[in-house]
Amino acid sequence: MTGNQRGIWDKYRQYIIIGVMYLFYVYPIVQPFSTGIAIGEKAQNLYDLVESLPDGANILMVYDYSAMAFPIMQGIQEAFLEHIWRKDGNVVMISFSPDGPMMYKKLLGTYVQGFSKKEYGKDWVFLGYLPGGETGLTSFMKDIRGTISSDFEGDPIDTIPIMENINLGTDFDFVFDFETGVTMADGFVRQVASVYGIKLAFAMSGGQMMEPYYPDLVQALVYPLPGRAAEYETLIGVPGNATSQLAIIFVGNLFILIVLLGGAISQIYKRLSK
Amino acid sequence: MSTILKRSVPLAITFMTVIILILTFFFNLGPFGETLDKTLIAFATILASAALGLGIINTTKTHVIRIAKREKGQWIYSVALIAALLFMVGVGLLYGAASYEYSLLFDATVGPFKATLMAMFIVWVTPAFVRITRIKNINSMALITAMFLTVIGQSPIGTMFGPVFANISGWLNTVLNMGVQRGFKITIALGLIVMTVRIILGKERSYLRKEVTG
Amino acid sequence: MIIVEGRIIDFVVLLFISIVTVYMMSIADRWTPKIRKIAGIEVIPELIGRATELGRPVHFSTGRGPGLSQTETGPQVLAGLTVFSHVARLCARNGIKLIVSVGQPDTLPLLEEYIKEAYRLENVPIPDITDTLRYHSTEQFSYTSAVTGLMRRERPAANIFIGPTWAEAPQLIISAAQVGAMQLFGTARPALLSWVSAFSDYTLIGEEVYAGGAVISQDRDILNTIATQDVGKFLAIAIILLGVILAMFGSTLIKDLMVI
Repeated sequence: MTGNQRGIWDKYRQYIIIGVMYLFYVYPIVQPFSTGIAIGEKAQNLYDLVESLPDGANILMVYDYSAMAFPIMQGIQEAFLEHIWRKDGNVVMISFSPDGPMMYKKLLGTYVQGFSKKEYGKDWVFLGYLPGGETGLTSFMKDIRGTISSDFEGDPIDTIPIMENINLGTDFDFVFDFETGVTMADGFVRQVASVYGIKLAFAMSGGQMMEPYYPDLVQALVYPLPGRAAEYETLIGVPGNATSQLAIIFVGNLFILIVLLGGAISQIYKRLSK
Repeated sequence: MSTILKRSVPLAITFMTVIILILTFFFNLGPFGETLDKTLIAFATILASAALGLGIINTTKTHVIRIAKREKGQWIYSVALIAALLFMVGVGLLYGAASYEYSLLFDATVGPFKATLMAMFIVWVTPAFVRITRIKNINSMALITAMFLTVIGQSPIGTMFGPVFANISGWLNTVLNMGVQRGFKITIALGLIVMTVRIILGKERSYLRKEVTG
Repeated sequence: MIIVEGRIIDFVVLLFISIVTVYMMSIADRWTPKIRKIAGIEVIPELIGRATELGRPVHFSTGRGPGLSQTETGPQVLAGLTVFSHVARLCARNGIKLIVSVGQPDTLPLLEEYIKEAYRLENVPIPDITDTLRYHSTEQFSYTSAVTGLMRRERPAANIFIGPTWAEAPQLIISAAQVGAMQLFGTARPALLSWVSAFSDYTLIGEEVYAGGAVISQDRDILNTIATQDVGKFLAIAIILLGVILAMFGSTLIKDLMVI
């Protein structure tokens, strides 16, 4: 490598790296391809856990992520709703993130085929955004009606059929929290699993942080997304949004591996040539 | 109100609240204990909601002052912020947060904005990530090896080679990583307990205004 | 009054740690533990000194998000506030501009008080609070973009961040590094510690955040509570070792004990 070429690399390194990264990510959009899906333990666990729930179980589904994470969460959420509604699950949705209500509305718009087959108020309800984080969750689990009096649309909870037999946290059979950033996860372990012994699952990007609680306090832990989400979609037999993102995940991971290998090889070469 | 009273009253409230919550959590105190517990937690939830409002007030105050002072290069952005804030709040109040109009506004502005910033984050971090993947010593070699095995094990690429990389990645995660995470969680929990005791006893007063802590 | 089932051992542990804490505080006048030097705390005067030499401001933040009201973040923010009082005094003493990025609305009044107190103690005129304290947002990337822009405009020579952090940490660190700021980043949130350690010049990891606040306060009672944490750690290690040994012989005694 000449001195001139080294200068160009040092000067434009950032742009070269970003440019190459873009080329990697553009390739599957221009030339789509499919990758194999091997079912992993985490996705299988979630599937088995949902299968073990009784028909008509009461589920608490939590939107704990912000707008930028919707593309990651969409697949796993749609797959979960597809799965739980096969068992006539009653899904109570809530959010502890301010963006949650808008993410719910987005999911309403993207998962039309699922929501259109079900009836609001009977098969699902959305209770809106509850501030306070873990404190709000604690209050909600202790006394739902004392904490929230109406759903997101403003209808009193007492008029909603699905909420008839759900008054306390213990009335839920299963809690599934969708989040990025490990914001509420520890709170759910403390206030839901530890206190009430309710089955708990997470779909999150930073799932490594919750490994100490798995599988005793957290029965299902799905990460990283959307890879595991694609596996879950395969298990329920409905390839969807997450499966379609696998090619992009493939090239993204390939880029990281090439950077790691390239960096290592160049360092080893430099040392050997000294 | 004297300084001693300004200090004693908040400390007394803190002490009573923490003790009540601890007692109601660990002991069966009957319906009275349950009511007390739920009430205190409801208060905390209400305060959290009030904190959101406080944030909006402070944002508005900061930027209105900036506009009034015509801060060079900044005040025009403050105008944009205040206008956006008022418009969003106005639409929310007029049509409701559950309305189509509010969702449309959110999907047209906040959603793409956050997605853009997230993408920018990747652009910022990737060159820095490349810089840290240099083998300088045995520690960095271990780091890069672990990164390599974890990425390949958890990606679709790894499945091309059978279960070997998934198993290695799983072992790194469930043995090494879990041990470290457990250690962190234990030490952080201990720190939390000790700080709580300091708060109960009134030794930790950094949450009070300086004029009353002395 | 009986203890709720499943929480007996939790109560016993809490009681034990509390008793040890109170005992440690009671003997503070006779004995104080020797705290090892925490590099992140020791470097603070150096960071402020560097900023003074370069004539560039110091940037401080206690993070963003839920703030004081949350279990996980509240104690970290409190520790950050203790460090902030020290930083504010040093900045006042050196006559260097301090800029505070605020991402937690409930800390605003406290930060204002700390600034006023620091400058009063140093007999220096109190700076313009609206210029010093800049409330951005609790929203992750709104806060991040605001702080990134602030770094570009103000070009601080020192960046000190003590508090809870999420995915914004790498971007904050990198944007500060790009303007040549020397950095101290402290958080007790395990999720981002790997990023922080990799990118920041100095770090406070996990309970060093809590210990750092205690070291700065130089309050003997609070310093002694650090020893309590060590007692707790030894207890945890003993229980883990005992559990492992018993498990090797097929006994689940410790595991069963933990869920009483």
